[in-house]
Amino acid sequence: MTTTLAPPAPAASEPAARRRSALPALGPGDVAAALVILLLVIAVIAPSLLARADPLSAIGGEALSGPSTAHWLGTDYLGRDVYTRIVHGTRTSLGASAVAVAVGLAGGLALGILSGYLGGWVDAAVSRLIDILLSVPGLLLSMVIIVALGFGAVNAAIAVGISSIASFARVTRSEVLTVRASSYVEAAQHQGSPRWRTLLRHILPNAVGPVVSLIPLQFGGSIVWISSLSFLGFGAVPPHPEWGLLVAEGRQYLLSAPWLLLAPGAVIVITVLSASHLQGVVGRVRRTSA
Amino acid sequence: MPSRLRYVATRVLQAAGVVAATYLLTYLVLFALPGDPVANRLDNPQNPVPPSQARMIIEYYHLDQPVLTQLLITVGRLLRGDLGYSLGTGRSVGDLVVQGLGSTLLLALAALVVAAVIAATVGVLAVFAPWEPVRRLARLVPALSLATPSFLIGLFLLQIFSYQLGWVSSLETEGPVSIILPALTLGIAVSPSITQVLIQGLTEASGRPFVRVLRSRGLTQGRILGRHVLRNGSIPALTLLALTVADLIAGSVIVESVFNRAGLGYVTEQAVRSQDGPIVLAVVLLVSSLYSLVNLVTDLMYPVIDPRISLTESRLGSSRRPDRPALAEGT
Amino acid sequence: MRGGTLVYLDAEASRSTQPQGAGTWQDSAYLENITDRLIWKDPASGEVQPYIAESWDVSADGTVYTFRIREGVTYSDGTALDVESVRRNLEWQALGDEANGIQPSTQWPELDSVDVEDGAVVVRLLTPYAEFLDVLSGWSASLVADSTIAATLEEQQQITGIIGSGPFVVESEKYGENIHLVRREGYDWAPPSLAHQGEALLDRVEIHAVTDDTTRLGTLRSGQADALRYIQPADERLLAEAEGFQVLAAQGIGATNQWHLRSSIPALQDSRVRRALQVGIDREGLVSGLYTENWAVAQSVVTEDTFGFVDLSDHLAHDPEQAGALLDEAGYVDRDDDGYRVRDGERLSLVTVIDVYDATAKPLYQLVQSQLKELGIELTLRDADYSQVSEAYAAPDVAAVRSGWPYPAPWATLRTLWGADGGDGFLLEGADATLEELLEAQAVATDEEERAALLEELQTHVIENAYSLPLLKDSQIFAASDAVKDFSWSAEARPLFHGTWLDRR
Repeated sequence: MTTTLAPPAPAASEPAARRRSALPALGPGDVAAALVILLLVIAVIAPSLLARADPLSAIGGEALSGPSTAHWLGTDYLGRDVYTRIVHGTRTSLGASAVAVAVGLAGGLALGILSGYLGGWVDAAVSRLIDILLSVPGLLLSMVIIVALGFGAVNAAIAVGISSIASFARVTRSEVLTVRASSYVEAAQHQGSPRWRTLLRHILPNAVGPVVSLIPLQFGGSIVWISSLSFLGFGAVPPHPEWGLLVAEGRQYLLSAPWLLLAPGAVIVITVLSASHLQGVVGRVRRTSA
Repeated sequence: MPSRLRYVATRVLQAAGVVAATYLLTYLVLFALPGDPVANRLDNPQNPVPPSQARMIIEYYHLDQPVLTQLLITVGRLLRGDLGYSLGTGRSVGDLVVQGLGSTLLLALAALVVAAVIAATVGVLAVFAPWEPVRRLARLVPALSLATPSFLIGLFLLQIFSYQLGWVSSLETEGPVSIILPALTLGIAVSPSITQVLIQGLTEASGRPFVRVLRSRGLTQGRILGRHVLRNGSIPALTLLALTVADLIAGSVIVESVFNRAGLGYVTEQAVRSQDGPIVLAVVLLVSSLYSLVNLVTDLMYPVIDPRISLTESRLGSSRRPDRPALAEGT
Repeated sequence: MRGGTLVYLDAEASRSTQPQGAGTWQDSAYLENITDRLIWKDPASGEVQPYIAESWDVSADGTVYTFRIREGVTYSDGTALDVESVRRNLEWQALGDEANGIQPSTQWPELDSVDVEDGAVVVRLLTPYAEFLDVLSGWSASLVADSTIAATLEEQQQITGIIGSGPFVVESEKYGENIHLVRREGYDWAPPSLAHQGEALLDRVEIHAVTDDTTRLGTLRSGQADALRYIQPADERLLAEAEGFQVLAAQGIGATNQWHLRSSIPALQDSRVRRALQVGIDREGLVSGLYTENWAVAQSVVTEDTFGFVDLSDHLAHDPEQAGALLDEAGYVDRDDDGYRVRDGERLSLVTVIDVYDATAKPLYQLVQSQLKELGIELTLRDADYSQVSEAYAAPDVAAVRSGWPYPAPWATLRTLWGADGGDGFLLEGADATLEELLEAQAVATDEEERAALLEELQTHVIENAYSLPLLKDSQIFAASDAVKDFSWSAEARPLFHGTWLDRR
């Protein structure tokens, strides 16, 4: 095995010559993703800029009408404009998912690094704790947390986040084990580097790779999870236009008014794709400037 | 090797501890949560029970006893092999779990195969396909399959293959062919994380210096891929594969509802939603045992795939100052 | 005409078929198809008619009932459904089985004794009970074989544990998936007033539990099933336009879809506020906005075919001006920045829990919320799941909960729901003596005219005081292919397959 002292740089399988410029050229996909993110940010901060109508007002007589010039994405069973509801629901949905991911990431990274790096009984204890967490049915776990914290989208998000700690932790742990056993860490130990420095400078940057790549996925997954919880009555309460709730309600109208499901569903897909794409771009920038 | 045997023995002991702790925790949680199927039966608006009769029903189920007493009664029965009866439907818990397990195990295994195939195909395409557009497209697949609701995929498959083409019945189980559509749906639903991590792992591994060294020695791309990169890049994906068991059970609930299978996912969800204690406890017992087993197997496999990882997880970073450098097994 | 298998898709799986405890739509329907009862209630008129009881006498004071039992009836296990069996059944219904955790049938009156005298069954009650015969027509009064009575609670909760005399027999059951029924050979004791007598026309009925709405409808449309229970109002229109299908609506006899208002909430202690709600809700708007022509507005707390019904539509007509005037009178004159009425700085705000038992509840509650907002009343919606619905309903700040379903003995059930010694649904704690008196009096009245007058008074009292807000007459919606003929129901809108047949030409 070749020994290197610098942490391995994940690079695409290309010949050694690299461009000198700090920024890689941006393609049309990158632009589209950035635009989507921008729109989402506006929707979170100032939704009325994008949609002037009131998301909660029911317009009599126009229930379940399809997309038209008056209603870009159609109306729902109470005559409310779907586009407006999606825009106004962005804040809650993205906020909730961010909370879920943050909770899962923070908890998972901490536990994973702790158990992978310290090893011994700490590893055993944390791993068994994670086993317990995984064995309890996810729905039950979510129910307990929500009942303890109170109903609502944010608390549902915390519940989803706690449920996802286990996967983050295990993946981190396995990465830490791999990195820890690699030769350069051994070398650092030989040189007398204190434990915490080894952790911070060598192990952490390399172990987070796969976990970070999971973030956009976890983000999208949280939206879907929160949607099922909302549908069951544990998350956002109607008439609030949270995306997950819109999808869950839309499911019941799949045959008679498919746009009720497809519109918020498509928005979720586009959001997750953009986040995923953005994360790829950031990764590329990080690598070329490293 | 004796140390490996000792390791396994320690792990089995720990597993037993985990199972017991999970059981206890779940029991307390169920007790603490408001509501139960008996209360719902008493308050059922279609057949409301007068308060005078309610008392008798509550006594029958020992619900008026303190927690500890109820726990001891339940554990006592458990040790005699009696898993009890569903509070809501009166069915034997053992029968329900066996019926559910049979159905879901089959579905889960098939779905796992589907997910692994998807992950491997998409992963390899995303990193090693010679054409850029194909690589780009492949990298989109995990996000796409994650954000698409699984019930939509299931309904779509049903619409085409069952309703329109009539190849498969949506109601009856007609042998092995009935598992294809649900397995496809569930497999697609649980594949995103595995695929993503595999892509990540393969990308990193293929960029490692040793790959260049191997290539300079004249090994073909395929050889490098198969024997070295795949092995090294697979650790996190393997870990995730084990975790996918959780996703499978969660995802099976939706798939089972769309395809009318009363598997473990369905039984568990019904039980949790109505807080049907005996069923939830039996499922927890089953799942925690399963997890401990899967985790043990996975941990045993790490050193097989990457010999640098030591089995006993300990040396580096223990509280004692190491007086000799820790040498990983196998180097 | 005769023969064939009906594939029926139910919206939910069987939960518990134990007769005294069963109440869900699906379980009560299954029970009624595999058992018989003493009394038949005609779905069209609500009259009680002969069934297993060929005829009966009621004593002048209303406490002694003598039933003459039809001869030649047997259970599917071969045992006889004779006077002794009826006696054992009635005792079991009246007293339950405490050791086995089986409660008495909930609306049964207090029993003095059940005896067999001169080949007839004589039931002596402690007090007169006007709806006794109605109770005996309900699914909880289904007659079962001795082996069922002796079985444990858990065995009875599964349909395979119920041995009845009905037109169908259970062949098999797979939990959560399907139930297979086969024709009972030799069945010859259907209610005399029914058009079809003798054995069932269908060979088999295969009941599948398909909980997903889209799959259920899709399976019917693809031809893999013949009939189903429940589709969304939006899908009703879709199906009505499609060729080869029929949408059937059944409205059971009993209480209407209504909201109980709780007088424990300070704002609702003022009857003007309650009456404002009564006339402030636009019921026609609810129906036209969310439902189809198979649904209608409620005209009282009970449906028109319930005994004693009186049409109180004028009290329920939408009158926003009057509602506004009542609220002004009650002191809620000013409005705050969000448009809600305030009194002494406090907003008029009410909390309700979205009904979990009604599939159309979410849109309905949101529409009511939006209607009340125009009046200046804030209605906050809370969601609940089956598991915590009792807790959610019992929360002290909940102002209104939904009630009202088809019942075999509607007034007895309403008395259990409303009475101070029962559920005290309006949370009056006995404060309204008139209400309590009326509930008592109607239960024991022996003269029909007297009883009808009492019931009229009761309904008027409840509606004028706006203790309850009747909203709609629920319909149970079924859909079937055109090949299914004579799909029919019991008085409580449970499907009965005895006379159904398939025209597969």
